[in-house]
Amino acid sequence: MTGRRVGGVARTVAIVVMVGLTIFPIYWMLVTATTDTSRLFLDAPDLLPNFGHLAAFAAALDDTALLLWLLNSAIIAVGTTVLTIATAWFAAYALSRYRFRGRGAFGLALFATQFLPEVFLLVPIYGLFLTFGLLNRLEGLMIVNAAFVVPVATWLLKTAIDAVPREIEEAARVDGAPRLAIQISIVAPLVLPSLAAVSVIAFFHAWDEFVFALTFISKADLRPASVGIASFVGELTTPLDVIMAASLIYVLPTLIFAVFAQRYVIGGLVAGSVKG
Amino acid sequence: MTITLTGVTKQFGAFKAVDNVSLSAGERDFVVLLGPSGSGKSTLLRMIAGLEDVSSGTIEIGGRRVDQMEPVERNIAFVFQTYALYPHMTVRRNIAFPLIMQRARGWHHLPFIGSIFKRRIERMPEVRERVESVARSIGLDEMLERHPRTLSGGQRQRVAVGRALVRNPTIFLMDEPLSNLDAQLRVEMRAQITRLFGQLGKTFVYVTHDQVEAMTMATLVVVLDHGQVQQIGTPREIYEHPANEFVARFIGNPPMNIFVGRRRGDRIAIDDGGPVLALPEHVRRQTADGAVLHVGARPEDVLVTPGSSGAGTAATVSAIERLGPETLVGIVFGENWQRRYGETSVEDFARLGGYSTLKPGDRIEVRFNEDRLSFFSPETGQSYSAPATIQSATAEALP
Repeated sequence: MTGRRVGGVARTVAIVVMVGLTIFPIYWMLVTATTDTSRLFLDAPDLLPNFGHLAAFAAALDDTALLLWLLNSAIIAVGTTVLTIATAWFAAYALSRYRFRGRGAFGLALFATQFLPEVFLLVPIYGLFLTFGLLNRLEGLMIVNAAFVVPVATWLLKTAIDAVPREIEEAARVDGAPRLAIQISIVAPLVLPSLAAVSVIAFFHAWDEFVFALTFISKADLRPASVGIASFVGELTTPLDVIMAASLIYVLPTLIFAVFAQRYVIGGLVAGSVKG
Repeated sequence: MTITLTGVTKQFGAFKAVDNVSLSAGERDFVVLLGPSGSGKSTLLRMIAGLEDVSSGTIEIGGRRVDQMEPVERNIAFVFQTYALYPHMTVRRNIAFPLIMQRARGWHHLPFIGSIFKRRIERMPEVRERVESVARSIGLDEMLERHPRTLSGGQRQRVAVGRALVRNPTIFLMDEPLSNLDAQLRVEMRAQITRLFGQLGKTFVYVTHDQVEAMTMATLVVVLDHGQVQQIGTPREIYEHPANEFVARFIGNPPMNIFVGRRRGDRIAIDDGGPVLALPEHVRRQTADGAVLHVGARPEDVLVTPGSSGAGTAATVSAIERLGPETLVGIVFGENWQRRYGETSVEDFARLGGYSTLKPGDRIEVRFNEDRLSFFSPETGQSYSAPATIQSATAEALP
């Protein structure tokens, strides 16, 4: 075998191991969800899913409010994504294109917010939400989730906008495009990959979020799925197979969203506008 | 449309990128802003376009004051050095874009839904016909559905010109549009732009650092340096009667040879041991006997004959560049003549017609075309110009 072949094989092995490590938890969820409770704690557990046994899925869908919780999660995630892009876009554009006093400090401050743990801010935000009547409201979760994603989103978008040549915007100005239209129909399409990346980050952050939802939502029918599924864990019994079945259903939309968004997270759109 | 600039200044902090520029261009002028990099020529063009604010001074287009207006209100077209095409749009949409913007209402700019309306505008018969006729006129009609990234440099350049043409603007502004093209394409596009200028009969303002473009395309050349106008004139005036030493050295390749001389009565003695040349009457009137002058001679006014018969100043060939139709001869004057101009040694050049057989080291004799020399003040660098040229230069500068 030549050196190149060895390198290729090593790389393939490494990739297989990584993919295996990533996929195994999801696979094990599937196995657990399709195994009868009585067989879950054997010394030699079943290693293959048993598709004949789907009772846990039926239980998760019929006996719990899972679908409602998923809907709540979806509303929060979409709302967070829209709010994040609407806010971060203009911040990023301003940071990239305008010179103003304190621009550098502002950029650093955005980074600094990332060092604060969420739990640290739980109590102050709770007080704030109490005052504004945002407790037990999905809008409240959208706002708090967006607040934690916007700094990252702003940086991502700023970097992308930096790469769009100013001349393209100036050409549009000469051609009579209003300023906002330039951002929407010229700059935004050119940073589509970054917009897609930001959407993915915001959506997943909101979809996965647990601590704020647990603290701010006390009404059962307003729970997102993350909190809802956690509520299966009982004091006396924990229906592992139902939890795993519900979790699988919970993971599914994110997989679909990721595949959809991945199509756009590919660079190279700016090629050809100016001499390269 | 006429363009009139009055005292236009652009300041970045304490730095004046454009310093008190006044000029006026007529209805059918091809104005070339020419200068080295950092001379403020692009900034000046961008101020005319409205892409850059004016710190002080006024800009009028067709007698209408425009310096506070948005670019689109000035009804100008701008061709960028980098073309600045919209990479995500087809050639058709790129060219149609100004027309779409003219017809679009506010809510047509919304994301997603807006694109439906923009497509509808693009398909309106009048828009479609206009775009296609412009594309035909610049030879792009086969490429309307392609994206800019699939086009060659020259084709992208033509799309940029097409986008400028489609709106039928009153003034064309171009910022070094040819500098990204290879040499052959540049000559081709130069001819095409000149032809366009002839057909349209509109005012063009064109920025370049390439003096060949300035000499071949312009009806009016504005030479800039350090943000200040050095000279305004026709290409011929600029070449034959440079207003100062900067223009003399900047225009022409190789640049004008400059010698230091001292007035001796009605003649001028060059350096120590150099030739004694005739001094024109208008220079004599402006200088005193014994005054030090700088004397400029274009390479074609430096006449070289082989041998050493004693009829001219003895010199040696230091370098030869044979360009085909002409030959450039580098000259080192004899030991008797101490060259004094400039801080470092300046090489002098002569231009000979045809393919010269001279070679480095050959002994030659040099004479000057004495009625075609330029004379400059060593203190100010300004030319002691003939009365006629003073008049024509200032007439352009101060309307």
